[in-house]
Amino acid sequence: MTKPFPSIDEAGLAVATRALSKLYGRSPALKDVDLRVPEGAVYMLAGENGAGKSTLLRLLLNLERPTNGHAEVTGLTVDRNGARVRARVGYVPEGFGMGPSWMTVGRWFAERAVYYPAWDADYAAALCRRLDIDVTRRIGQLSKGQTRRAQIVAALAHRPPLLLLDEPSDGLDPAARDTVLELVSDHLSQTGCTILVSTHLIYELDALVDQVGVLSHGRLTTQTPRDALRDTVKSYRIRGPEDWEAPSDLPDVLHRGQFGREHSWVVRGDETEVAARIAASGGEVRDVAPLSLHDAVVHLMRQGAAS
Amino acid sequence: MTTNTRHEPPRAIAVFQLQIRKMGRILRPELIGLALILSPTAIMALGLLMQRDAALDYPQELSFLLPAAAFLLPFRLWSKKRLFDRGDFLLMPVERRKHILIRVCAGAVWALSLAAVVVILFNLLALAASSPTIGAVWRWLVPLGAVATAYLLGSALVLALRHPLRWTVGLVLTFALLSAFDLSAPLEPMTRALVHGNLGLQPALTGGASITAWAVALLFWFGLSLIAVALASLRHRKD
Repeated sequence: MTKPFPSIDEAGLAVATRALSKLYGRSPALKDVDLRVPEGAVYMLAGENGAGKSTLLRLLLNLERPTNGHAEVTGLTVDRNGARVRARVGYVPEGFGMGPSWMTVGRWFAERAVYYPAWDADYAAALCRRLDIDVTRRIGQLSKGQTRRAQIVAALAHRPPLLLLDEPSDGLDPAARDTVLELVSDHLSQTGCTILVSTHLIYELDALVDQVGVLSHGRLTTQTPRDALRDTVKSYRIRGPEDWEAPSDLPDVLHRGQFGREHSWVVRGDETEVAARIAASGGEVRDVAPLSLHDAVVHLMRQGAAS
Repeated sequence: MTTNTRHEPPRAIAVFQLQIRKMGRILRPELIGLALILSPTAIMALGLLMQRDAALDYPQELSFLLPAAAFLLPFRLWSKKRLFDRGDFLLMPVERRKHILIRVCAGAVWALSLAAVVVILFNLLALAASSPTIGAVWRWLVPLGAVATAYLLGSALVLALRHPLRWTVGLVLTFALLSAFDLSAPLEPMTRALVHGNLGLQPALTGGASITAWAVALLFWFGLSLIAVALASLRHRKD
């Protein structure tokens, strides 16, 4: 069987980690993660709750130290250049903490402008208008959704070459979600930046994503270009004879369903090769269909969680 | 990677100026309170001065009150969240240790400025009343040295400990209990040296007998508190 996913080129990576691991006490949060995010890519990091997505993003900003391994962001070694890395990154954190509750959103942005010399006040104002942010409101008066919108403006307004977004649509209503996705899309087309986004809402990013990574129990179980995922993870409708036994040399069956003699499988691998093996074992492939990004990632997450 | 030179950390002076402004906003209630206390005091004092027979002395209580307030100031300026948890402060693109020290310096500017206002006000009033409590000019500097030292000691505690207030209160209570049950005798020689010795806190904070005694004690305590701040900042990662 051919290698299911082509490897990402080593050159031109915006984010690269080597055997990155993190232990909290004795409990491992990340194990030997080799993340490869190409420059200009929109990389979606998926994984179940507690898979280590937020920890990974925090390690990339040197907000926490890895127990082992190495990380580079925009060509800088993270553990020696934490401040420089953070200057080049727009980060939307997992939580909703912003600043002191008495501070107005406008004042909070003004502080950001001091910390980020590349801050574009006009752009920030335009983003605020599009996201309907009232800069005169105090941070303590903001709802979760309003906080998230302000965090997104803060991440975009200095036009960073890399965006790290940790559940960016968390807390947003559907209309605001759409606006945020439009903004990110516009930002991407204007700046050509790289985006690493962790999310549970995979379908939201369907139109943007071109790289996919799946974290499971702290391990990066899948890392692939989105096109390769579409080409290699497919749903097969198979009709087998009575007492048909599935071919034993198909290792990457992500899902098996059966109704009478009709089998419905999700398999990762080269379609021609998979179909040939099924045919050789006596099964008849009736239909092969590509999966949506959401379905493919969910199957990969389940496989990762089960392994 | 297409980074331009503007995607670099900010200049330290810009962060320092920001922190000074930010602390002004944090201390707004205290500043209003201070203004409410000092303004009527000054007006009443001027009224008394006009009666000519009033005796206005420099309040010696300030030798204790100002350093005590300066010691507590860092507890007000810092919060556990900013330093040890996942606060916004830690996300900023400034080397963490440098960021912390910049903030300590900005706090020192506020501590010394406020102390200077109080000291100058009361000294001028006492001077106008020809009070005998006005000594040599260096005496005016004693509270400022005390404030700087106490502020740095308070900062060192706040930077080093996750729960500095609990530790401080715990230590004070422990010492009070030991004294109450007459168990502090073994500690007394050390305490005496620490407070009343040539290099003790008392000459450093109140001025001692001469400018030399004060300067030596102050240099010792100021140096010690600077070292304490530097050591406490090591607790926080560089980058």
